[in-house]
Amino acid sequence: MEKSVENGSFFNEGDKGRKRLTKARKQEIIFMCVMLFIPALHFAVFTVYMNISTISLSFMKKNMMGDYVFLSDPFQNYKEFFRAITTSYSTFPKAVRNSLIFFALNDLIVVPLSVILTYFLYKKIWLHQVFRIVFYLPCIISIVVMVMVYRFMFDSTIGVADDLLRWLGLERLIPKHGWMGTKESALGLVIGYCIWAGLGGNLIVLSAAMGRVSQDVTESAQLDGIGFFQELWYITIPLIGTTLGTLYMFGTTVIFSFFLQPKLITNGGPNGETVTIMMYITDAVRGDANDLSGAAAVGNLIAIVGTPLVFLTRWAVDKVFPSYEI
Amino acid sequence: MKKLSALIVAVVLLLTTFIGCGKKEEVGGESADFADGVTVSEDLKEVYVGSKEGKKRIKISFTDAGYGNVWIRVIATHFVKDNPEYWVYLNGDPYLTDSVATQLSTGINLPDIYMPLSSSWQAYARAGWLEELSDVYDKKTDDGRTVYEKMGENWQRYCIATDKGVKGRYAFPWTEGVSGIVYNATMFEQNGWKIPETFDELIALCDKIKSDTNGRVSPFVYPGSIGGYFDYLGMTYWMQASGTDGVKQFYEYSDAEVFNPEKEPRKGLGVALGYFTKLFGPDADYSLTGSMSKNHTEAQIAFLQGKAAMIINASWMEREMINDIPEGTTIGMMRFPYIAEAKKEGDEYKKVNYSPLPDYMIIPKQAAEKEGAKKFLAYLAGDKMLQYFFDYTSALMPFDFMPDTTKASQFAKDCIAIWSDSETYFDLPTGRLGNFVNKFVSTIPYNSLVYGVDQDGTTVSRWMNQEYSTAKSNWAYWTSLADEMGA
Repeated sequence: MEKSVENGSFFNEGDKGRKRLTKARKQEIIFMCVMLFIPALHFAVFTVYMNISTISLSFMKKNMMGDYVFLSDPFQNYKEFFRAITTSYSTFPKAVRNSLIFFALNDLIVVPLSVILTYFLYKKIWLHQVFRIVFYLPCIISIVVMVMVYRFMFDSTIGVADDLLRWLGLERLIPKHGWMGTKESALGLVIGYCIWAGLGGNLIVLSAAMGRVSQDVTESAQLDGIGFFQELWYITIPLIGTTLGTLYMFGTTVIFSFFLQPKLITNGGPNGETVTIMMYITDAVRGDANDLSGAAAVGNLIAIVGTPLVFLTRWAVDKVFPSYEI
Repeated sequence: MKKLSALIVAVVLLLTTFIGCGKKEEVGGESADFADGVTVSEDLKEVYVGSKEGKKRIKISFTDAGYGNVWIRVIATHFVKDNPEYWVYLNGDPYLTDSVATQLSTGINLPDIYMPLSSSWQAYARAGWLEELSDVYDKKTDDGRTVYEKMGENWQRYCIATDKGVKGRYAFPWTEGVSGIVYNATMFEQNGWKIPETFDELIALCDKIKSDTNGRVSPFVYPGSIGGYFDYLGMTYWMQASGTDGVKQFYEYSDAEVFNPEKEPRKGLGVALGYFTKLFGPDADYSLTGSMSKNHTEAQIAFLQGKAAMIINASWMEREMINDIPEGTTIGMMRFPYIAEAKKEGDEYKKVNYSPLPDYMIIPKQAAEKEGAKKFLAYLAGDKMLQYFFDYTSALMPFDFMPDTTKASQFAKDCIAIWSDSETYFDLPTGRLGNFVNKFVSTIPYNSLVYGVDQDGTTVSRWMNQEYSTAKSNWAYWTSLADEMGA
């Protein structure tokens, strides 16, 4: 027998035309199976099983025996959710409003600001290494520690904000219920924190993208007399479009996933003024951790609303940031 | 420059790694009360006599938080001395409560005893995860009574749940709280301020505190961002106005009328909230600026720093803040002053104590050493162990036992005094809708009452009517749900 690998085949020429796998081909197949096993298992458990389980759970409730049973009205959990969010005292409308605010904040302020900052650092402005660390630090410090320090700054007993206002003779601006307990300032504080702490993560991603921009292109443009900001607008931004598109894609998910920062800074207060959609759901789940059927229903509703939104964003991002070969 | 940058990052990372550790001082990792001849391992987790060889292990997972961990170690040393066939492994976890359900559902590597903070253990029993504890409750204590007979009446009802429809006693008491107003006793003594008996006297005291200190000290501070612990005051005043029987009647959830603001028992809650508003509402000026922004640690620190003279809190506060109490400062606990509508027995006001939902102990059905675990729980109900528990936690287990307070702090003595002559009650729904209806069915009122209508808050009457209309519109749904779920 002769191996016919040279002819592009991994089969041995067997007797009477029967083909057998070569050892190399067998090893290759085993290798592929092993490599695919974990992602396939992951997909089976965390996508297929979990989604089927979540959908069926949303039509059930835990009975007094501790077992999940199908409800006589299968949509009861969904109706219960709609009943809860449509009451006059529900904080859900505020949650939707705030989630959209944080989505806009990310896409209209944090990402553009990150691009400008990264560009300055990329152009190696004076002390750029120091600034890189200053902006990046909030990313590597635990969010709990960061929030604690941030809260302390605005605490009425030990914070510097009140002292500063007193020193400036602006005592009247100190809110009676504190910065985190006053409607007018609480949301602003969370926004301020998100801008401050949100820049670092984008900075790394954008730095890597800008680092890949061909020097030939920029040098050529510079020889043609392009200015500092013109280079940013006409050369850099188009060439990092794919990365920017990804950042905007992630920005869309903020609508449904953002909750940790307001949870830690204001705990959703005052009177639900800083609640987000995810915080609303998380609180609902924590309130009834032993029966997850209601949470499953809300999760499905979010998937129904969120999936087309993500596709729409993807489409818009592709239109605005077409992919260029560098 | 790169080296400098790397150094800065390294220093920051190191600092943030250790920042959470703080100066958490173990209140005596070891103790003079350890039983003689018992070995406690260096990591303070293993407790045994002689050697562990050939002995059965009892693994205890406990919440290592406000009450510390010395008490359990002391008791464990005495237990293994009296029961040398066992050795004890102690696993302290501040966040145990969050993981109990997951651990029980997997059934893997379970401890023999869980000691979480207050949470919904009844659901664990319904799921068939818990061992029935009649064996423990039927054991005799030092004085000849059974453990069950020695236990408080609230707990005799609270420990009952069902496992797949079978009624049984599935939980064992850990703590019963005392709520009230914690005050800076040193400040009170220095200024000659008297403990108020009535609500009017409390208001007068607040005014006096402000005038005596020229506004430097606020009468109250509270943790508004986590709900202010306001419910302790609200519930106590409801119990004063409607009596504990009234509140118990409410928790029977007989029909939507129990939410009717014009009728008892709900009417009493309206009265209670009225007093709450007088103290903390938008027109009151008795609280430290920024209290609504504070969490419990920030509020308690402000109180201990002398920014405020009083704070609503409960019996765990002294232990929780033991490292932050300034030297020379003594704190005490006063009962909530009586409102004008408080029920009386003869000329005396009826004394009530609202206990925050109690912490508990459970034995998993799949625990490896259930017999030893049951012995340990019964052992805890002995007078000597109850005294150790009090000595090291300033807290009480709900058994008929009066601790010796000669070595106790003023705060602990005050808590004991309130607990011993009061009827203690905690939220305990007894009606069949108990799993479907809550005490508050629309919103929690307190923070909204603090803000008032001018700041998107509410008024007492508006909130009471909102609750009533919510209850009426949902009652049929809750009832049908209870029917369908087999309640």
